[in-house]
Amino acid sequence: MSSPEEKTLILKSSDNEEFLVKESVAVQCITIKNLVEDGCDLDAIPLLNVDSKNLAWIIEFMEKYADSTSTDAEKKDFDTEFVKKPFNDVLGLILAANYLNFPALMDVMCDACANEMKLWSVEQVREKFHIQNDYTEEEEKAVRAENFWAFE
Amino acid sequence: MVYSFPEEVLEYVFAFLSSDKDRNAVSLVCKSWYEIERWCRRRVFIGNCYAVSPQIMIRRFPEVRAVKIKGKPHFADFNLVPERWGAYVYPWISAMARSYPWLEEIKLKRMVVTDESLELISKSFKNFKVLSLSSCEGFTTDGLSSIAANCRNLRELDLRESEVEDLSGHWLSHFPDNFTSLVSLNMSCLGSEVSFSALERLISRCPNLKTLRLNRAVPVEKLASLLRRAPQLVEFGTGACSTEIRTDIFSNLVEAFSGCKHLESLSGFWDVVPAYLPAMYCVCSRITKLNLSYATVQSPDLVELISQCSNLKCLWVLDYIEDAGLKALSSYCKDLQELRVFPSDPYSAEPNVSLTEQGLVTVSAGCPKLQSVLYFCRQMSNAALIAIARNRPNLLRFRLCIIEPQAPDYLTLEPLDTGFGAIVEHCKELRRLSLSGLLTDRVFEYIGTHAKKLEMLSLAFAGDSDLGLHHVLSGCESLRKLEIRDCPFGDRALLANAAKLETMRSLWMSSCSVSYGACKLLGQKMPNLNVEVIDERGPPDSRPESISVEKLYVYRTVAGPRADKPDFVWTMDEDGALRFS
Repeated sequence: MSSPEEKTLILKSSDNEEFLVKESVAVQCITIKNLVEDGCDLDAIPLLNVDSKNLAWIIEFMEKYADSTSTDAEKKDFDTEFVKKPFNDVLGLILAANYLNFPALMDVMCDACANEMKLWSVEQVREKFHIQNDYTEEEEKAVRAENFWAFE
Repeated sequence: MVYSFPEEVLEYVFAFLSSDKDRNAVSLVCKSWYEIERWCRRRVFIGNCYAVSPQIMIRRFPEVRAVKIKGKPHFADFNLVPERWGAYVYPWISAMARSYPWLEEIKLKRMVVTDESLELISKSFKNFKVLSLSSCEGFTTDGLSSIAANCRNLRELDLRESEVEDLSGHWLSHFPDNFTSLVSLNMSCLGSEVSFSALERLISRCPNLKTLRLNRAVPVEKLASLLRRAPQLVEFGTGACSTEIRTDIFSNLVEAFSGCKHLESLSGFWDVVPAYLPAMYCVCSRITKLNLSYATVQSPDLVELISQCSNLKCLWVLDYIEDAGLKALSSYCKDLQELRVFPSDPYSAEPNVSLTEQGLVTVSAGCPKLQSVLYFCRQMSNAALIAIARNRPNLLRFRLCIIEPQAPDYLTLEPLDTGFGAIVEHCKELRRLSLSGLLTDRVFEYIGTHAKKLEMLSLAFAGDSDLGLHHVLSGCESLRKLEIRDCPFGDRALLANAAKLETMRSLWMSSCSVSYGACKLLGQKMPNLNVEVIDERGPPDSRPESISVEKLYVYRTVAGPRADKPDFVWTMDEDGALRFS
């Protein structure tokens, strides 16, 4: 049972939307926890690198994980549904979780990202991460040989 | 939208990629990913110690914590690889001692390990935790003393099936009194008696001990005392159980086993007196793995034990089980995934037990999850193989060893081509196959056509001509390891499929028809392969080029020709070709 005096924080996204979150929930993000412990007394905590879309999701996740009544099985089910997002959003959440230093969310999102990667070819990974292949044909051939012949 | 991913974020993602395949794929994405990945790879698997060098491994992966290295080819298990052939681990240990001070795990298979290597391991890695030596040789119990004395954080010591020169059992007493971290100990391959009181004290002070596989020398009357000190055990291997049965020993054993609420795997049972088996009945319902391959116990006693193991997933047993026992297995053990039946007397001319192809057919019909089979028997028919294939299309590993070479279908006297053909046609996910019996080139046509997921194939006394080898090399897309003995395969198929050999880990051919000339040609044609001729008759160029070599071992490598060859191994075209550096 939460005490009637329990503190609520205002988190402000990069696009100026404000979200109310209980302090006990929000401090799962170590960045926020540090701000609170350092005695930050701003009206709203500005999160310059997190837009409202991501912040809404993050709060949804934080509230689920802070809920002491949800079982491990329920959390797993929640995670399974939560990560079903377009890949670009998965990447966006990873960056936001990194910025906020939110370990539980990092674990879930990075695991989801890795699971996607396991299904892709090297070319597909490059496409999804928007990465330019900077290997020459010969260099790539040499790495492939070393990988498959020596280390697999 | 392009994301600039900080390095530490990519590392965090890569931490969820543990398979070599995934890690290797990551390294190919771009050069910066290659860099990030190589600094955070912690586990390295080397399938062939000569495909790469310690220096290359260390240069690429500077922060490794666990290595697994395999040495001699599989046919070394059948004494086909001569002594002094190679696979010495010392150069690896010495290089890692300098570059991997934080190394925690070393797992080796079919390598030559000396006491010097073991001592170096024990002194070089402060946080060393896991040593697994599978089918290794070259060391004595003195080497084990170093490990016991110096590895303060050791968790696992597993010597499975290694050949150890057993000077005394005293090595176990070298574990210090304040050593408590042991989780797994497998000393089943050792001969000498260890100090029983030292063993008791060791077990008592290691609360996390989950696996204990004793050696033969621990008598059955001492087991209860050990089990009482380690009721948390998950895997237990007894010693010899051959002492005449006594009521007090038996009841102590029953009591001790009933205290073990977590046991899942049992092994040992050397020469077990059948009257001891009921002592284990109280744990049978939880047992998933049972290794009775040293239990010279007859079928009815085996059936009594097995009928209580309703959760059995893996059974290794001698052919004393007979067809009747396998029938019981198929009705009681519906979760069975792996079955290995070993021969009790392979050298006798006449069958000593009533084990035929029928036993395997029955298990294939009754056990829907069966995926892995190793079966020694004396007769087989195409009809039986076809039935097995139809019953169990989910088979992944199928190794059939009909004891007499080139034995035909005993009913029709035909070759077993259609039977094995049915296996590869129905079992579409088959990864490993060993053939035996009378086989023509036709079986290889079936294999080349259907066995698209096959990774390892073992052949002996099979086929008629090069066409057989050609079918396999040209058709089996996923082939990684091919080992052949005493087959009429020669130059044409090998040279026509030279490029295929770069897509495989290795090829072994002994007592076949590959000429020295062809080996030289292959070496010239394929600079990235080590084409090694093994011939104990002396240098191959002291004989005409058309003469077949005794043994041939071909493998792809990024390390160039071996520098540690014995005097009976020659690498073809060692001087002329360009090499990777």
